[in-house]
Amino acid sequence: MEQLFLGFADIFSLTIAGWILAGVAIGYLVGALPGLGKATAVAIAIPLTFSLQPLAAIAFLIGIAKGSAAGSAVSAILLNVPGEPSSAPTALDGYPLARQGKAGKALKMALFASVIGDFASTLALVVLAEPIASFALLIGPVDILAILLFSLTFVGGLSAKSLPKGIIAALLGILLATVGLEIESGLPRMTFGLYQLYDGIPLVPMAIGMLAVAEMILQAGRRHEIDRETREITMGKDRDDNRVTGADWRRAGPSILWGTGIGVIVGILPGLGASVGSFLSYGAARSRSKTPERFGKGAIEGVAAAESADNAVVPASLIPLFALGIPGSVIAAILIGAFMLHGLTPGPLMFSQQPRLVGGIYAAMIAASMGLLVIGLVFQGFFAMVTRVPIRVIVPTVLFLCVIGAWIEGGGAFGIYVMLAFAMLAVLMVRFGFSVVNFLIGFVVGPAVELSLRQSIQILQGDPANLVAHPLAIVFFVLTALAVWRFGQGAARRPASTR
Amino acid sequence: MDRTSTIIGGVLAIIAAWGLFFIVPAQIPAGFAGMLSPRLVPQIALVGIGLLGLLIAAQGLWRGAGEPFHLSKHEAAAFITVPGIILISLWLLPVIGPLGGGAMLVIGAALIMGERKPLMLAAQAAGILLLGYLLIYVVLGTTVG
Repeated sequence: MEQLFLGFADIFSLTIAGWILAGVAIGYLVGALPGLGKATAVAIAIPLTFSLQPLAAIAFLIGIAKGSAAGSAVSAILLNVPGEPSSAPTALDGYPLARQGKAGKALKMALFASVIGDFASTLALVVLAEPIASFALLIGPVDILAILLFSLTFVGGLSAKSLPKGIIAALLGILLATVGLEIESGLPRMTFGLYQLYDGIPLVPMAIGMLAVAEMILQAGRRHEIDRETREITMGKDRDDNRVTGADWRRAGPSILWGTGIGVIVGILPGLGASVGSFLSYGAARSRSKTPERFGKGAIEGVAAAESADNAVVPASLIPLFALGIPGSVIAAILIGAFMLHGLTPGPLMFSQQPRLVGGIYAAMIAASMGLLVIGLVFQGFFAMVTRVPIRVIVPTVLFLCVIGAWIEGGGAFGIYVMLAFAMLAVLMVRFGFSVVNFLIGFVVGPAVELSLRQSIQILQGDPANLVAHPLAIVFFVLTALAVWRFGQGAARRPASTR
Repeated sequence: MDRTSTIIGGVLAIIAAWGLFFIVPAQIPAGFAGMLSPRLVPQIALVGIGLLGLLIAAQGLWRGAGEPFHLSKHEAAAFITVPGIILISLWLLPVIGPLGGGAMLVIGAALIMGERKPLMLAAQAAGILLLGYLLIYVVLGTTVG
């Protein structure tokens, strides 16, 4: 708690507070643009934080992630085009409300639900991460290996079209993480004589390529459809159509509370992601409703349920990252690169090694929640206009920023080659049903997998019977086997055309 | 038969076998005596990819027709032209300089996106380059060099 107060003292400077607000505003702006999500925004922004102090840089990036999660509701409500998949349930009721002339009401409720979900989830992060981290310090390499294998299997099963494709993506990520000088022997691996690869494949240009450039390629291929989707916004003249009334709060309040709870739980579990959270929350709100037939036709509680869960997932997904050093979502996988760039290694040790910085990050996250409310209320009209920016302006701008980012972080032209290679790989992976998320998580945790595997082989002395001394590892190996069985069953029951 | 899955699985298995038998031995030294080989993890990953590739291929053979691989004409064009314009701008950078390279990238991307009005193309290039300059040099106080 003391560190949190010190953190507040650190962020209450004009510079840091300014970067938090700038992050939230940029994130909101990017989120409001159709098709641009938080992962794209954060990946592009990482190289731009080079010259900033660690706290300012991390606060800026977290502000972007939070802002874009909330901003994606704007295009979902006004255009029926979700900024990212997790806002799709928001569009189910938000767009009908907009067509009834109640766009202002829907946008405000989406904002309030987003802020409440985000704030409550941030508090859950503050309360839960350190105790879990204290427990994590007691676990050894064998347990860590088992946890990592479970996480990759679980994420693979959820995020790809089939479990084998999900695991292949993770293995490919782990394989490419071995490129460069090996830590133990110092011998080069798969560098093909390129000295730039001695430090490994740079994460940031890779992430920019796989998330942002690949998305731009896919958007460029759909430009005619996206242009058609841009429509006029209907704003009602009645005052009540543009504000959240007491009756709206009574309808939406329980949905927000349920949505926040669902979002926090889904965020903590690796791999489920914001889309699962928002769809689950929307489904729960509809099943609890006495008038479920209103859903899909403009139920304000549908918007509230989806947005509260969507935004609660982002801070909660940082709990496994902070406590265990395991990124459970794509945003956490990208942030791990940013944290390391600024000298902070996420994991249980960071609470004892850099408590002041951790307190600052927590304070910045709480401040970003407040910033989200202020910026959302003040600039909502402006963000609504931004949704009308045509895709032929967005794509060149994003590509320009991607190239600059890859150039800065990848050491010049080499970074751009890396970015392009992985962008093309990601497009093929998406089209063939492989998981880009699991690839990136595999790449980020690859060194930890290798280290824990080597240590485990030595600890177990090559005899699996010695696992008996590691009950936690046995639990996670059993969970991994169950995940393989469960996801395999699910795939077998689905017809081929739906996989 | 799910043809797409069969082909993807087969291709993955071939790539994994090629990596296992040619790339790893050529690109990773065997390591020192008494230590675990630096080839261990790459080999495990490639064996896993190969076996799962074979599994996907086998599943594709057994089950009914699956979703055919779909890449529309526009997507295929974007897959080639977007990386293409970035590469051309990069290769011409030493000749036309950073401003020229940046302008070429923005205008090329706008053309790919269907913008044809010369005034809009010029305005977009100028606006985005100015935005980049302000962001990197003025706001962040850094350079791209």
